[in-house]
Amino acid sequence: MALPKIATKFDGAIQKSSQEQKIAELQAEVERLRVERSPELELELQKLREQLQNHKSENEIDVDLIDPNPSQPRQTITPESIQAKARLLKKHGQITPVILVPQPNGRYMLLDGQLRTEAAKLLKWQKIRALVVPMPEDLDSSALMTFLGFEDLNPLDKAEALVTYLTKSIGSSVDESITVLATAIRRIDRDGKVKELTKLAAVSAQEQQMGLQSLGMIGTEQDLLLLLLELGLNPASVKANLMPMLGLPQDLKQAIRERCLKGAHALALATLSAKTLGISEPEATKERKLAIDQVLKTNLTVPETRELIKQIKAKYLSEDKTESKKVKAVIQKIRELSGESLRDVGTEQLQELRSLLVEKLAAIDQAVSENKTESDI
Amino acid sequence: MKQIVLSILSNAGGVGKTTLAVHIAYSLGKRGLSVLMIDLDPQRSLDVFCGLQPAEAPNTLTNVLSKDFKGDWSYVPVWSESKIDVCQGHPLLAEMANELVIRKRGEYTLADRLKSYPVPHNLIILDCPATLGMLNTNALAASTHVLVPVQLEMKAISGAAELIEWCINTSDELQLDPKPTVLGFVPSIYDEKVAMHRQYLEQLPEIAQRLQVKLYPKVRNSNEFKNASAYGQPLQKYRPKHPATKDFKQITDDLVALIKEK
Repeated sequence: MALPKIATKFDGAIQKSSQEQKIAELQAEVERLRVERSPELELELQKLREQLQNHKSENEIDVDLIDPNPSQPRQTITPESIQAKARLLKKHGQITPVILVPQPNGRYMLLDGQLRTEAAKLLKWQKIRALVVPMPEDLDSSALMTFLGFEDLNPLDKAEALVTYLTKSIGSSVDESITVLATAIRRIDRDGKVKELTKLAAVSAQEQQMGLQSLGMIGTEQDLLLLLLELGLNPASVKANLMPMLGLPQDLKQAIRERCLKGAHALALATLSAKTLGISEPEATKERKLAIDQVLKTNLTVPETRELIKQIKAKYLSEDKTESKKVKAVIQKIRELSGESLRDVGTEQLQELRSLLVEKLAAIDQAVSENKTESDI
Repeated sequence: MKQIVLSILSNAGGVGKTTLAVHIAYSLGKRGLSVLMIDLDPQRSLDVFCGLQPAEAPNTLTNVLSKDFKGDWSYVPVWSESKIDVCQGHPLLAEMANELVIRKRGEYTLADRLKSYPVPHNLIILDCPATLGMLNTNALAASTHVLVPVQLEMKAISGAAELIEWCINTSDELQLDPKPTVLGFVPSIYDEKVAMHRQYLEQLPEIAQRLQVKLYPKVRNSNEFKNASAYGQPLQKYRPKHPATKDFKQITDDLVALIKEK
């Protein structure tokens, strides 16, 4: 009689070990492909590994050894924000390490964590927890990337950092960059393709390039839009929300930086210009200062701010119209036209006056109705 | 020269683990290499096979695995003429195993000891008990290689299959890196006269191949093994001309190659 076979006893073990084998083979294959096909990727990975290594033995770095980054995008550091950060550090301790780049002189340059470093100094901390990484190839881009991730940044700093990066990358002036961007977006908008542009933020670099080409974007326009898309930004939103920050009057910029005025509020307040109000520049600045104070003091929402602005405008626009000396003079003259003075005038001339007055009456009606709608806005 | 840590594992008793351990140790000693045999078996079978008197607990592996071990390894030389030492076992190892379950890095205790307090031997052989408990988990975690004796009977074969799965799963769970390599199966206590032995020996190559594990030549059954062990000697010493002494040659060759590998 044949004995029972033993092979089936090993089914589980064989399944297990062939899984193991496959995994090992795949890992070896991945390793091989990586080295063979893409030495650059391998280099990047090497760097990452080194960084991880550094991360494991996270360093405690002397605060005094840390220098600021000269191309730090965050230009605004208010004493309030440092104090707020210091309070958080004191309460929770340092949660994330700052990122430092070693310098040849033995000191460190700050790549990320200016606020934490300043707060640590305020708390008189001797050392700060830091991740030390090799010097990135493109410092601007790296600083920008780490920095765009922060939500507590004001749009003005963001816009300035971005435009510095753009101009450096494509080698044009600030004005040119803004104009190129504005023109490109306007053209895409005119073609009704803004949605297509927005979608490009979420696809691969290659698809972005092809997408831009199909939108008719070539040359500098394409380069510029690609840079924005690479940073994960929506170009239309950059044009509408960030770029206008650069053209704000100085007082509004200052309010954003030092008093944390919000971007949307600043843009609305910017319409209180000397030109629109028909007043001198110092007068307009004074008017804006009052408005800024009120917005910040009473914490106005954007619609509330717009309402305030409308009231301010109405004041100037209506005062302007009632004060016309010309109309005053005409009114005076017409009053002089008494029944007696008209009696001696020929029919032809009276007819002429009459048709003129009818014509002017229509114009006045028109002006009155326009005034009404204006103050209703 | 590389230090190899070889676990001799099986999930069934009496399949020739200790026989395999002492004969491999002796063969390597003959080739001029130094060997430390560590007895993880609370039944201390190595003592019998090496002709050693039972040792007091502080002079055995229990000391090495104890919490306050400071690197004072206690091992005794055996069979005078070669560089072979034995770190003896003790019944207290069974209790120790329970304590290891709740100790931090309990599974890695032996591995940690060998790393923190390395021994100079070329080969370390871990002679393990026939259960898949904490002591064997410690052996696996400390090993570079595993050797599996298989007696060609159903109970032992089932045990070997379970053992292979256990090795893979446990290596995974302990995240051993690198994972210990299964050096191979060794058909043991083989008796030409037993039909079952003959039939199962025929079936083994295919299984080994599918498991991608080496199949070593069989170690024959011989009363002379028993006689030799009664004198606390390996067969090579007890009866140097006995044909069964040749049964360990390929394993010895492989281990020497591994040790001398760069």
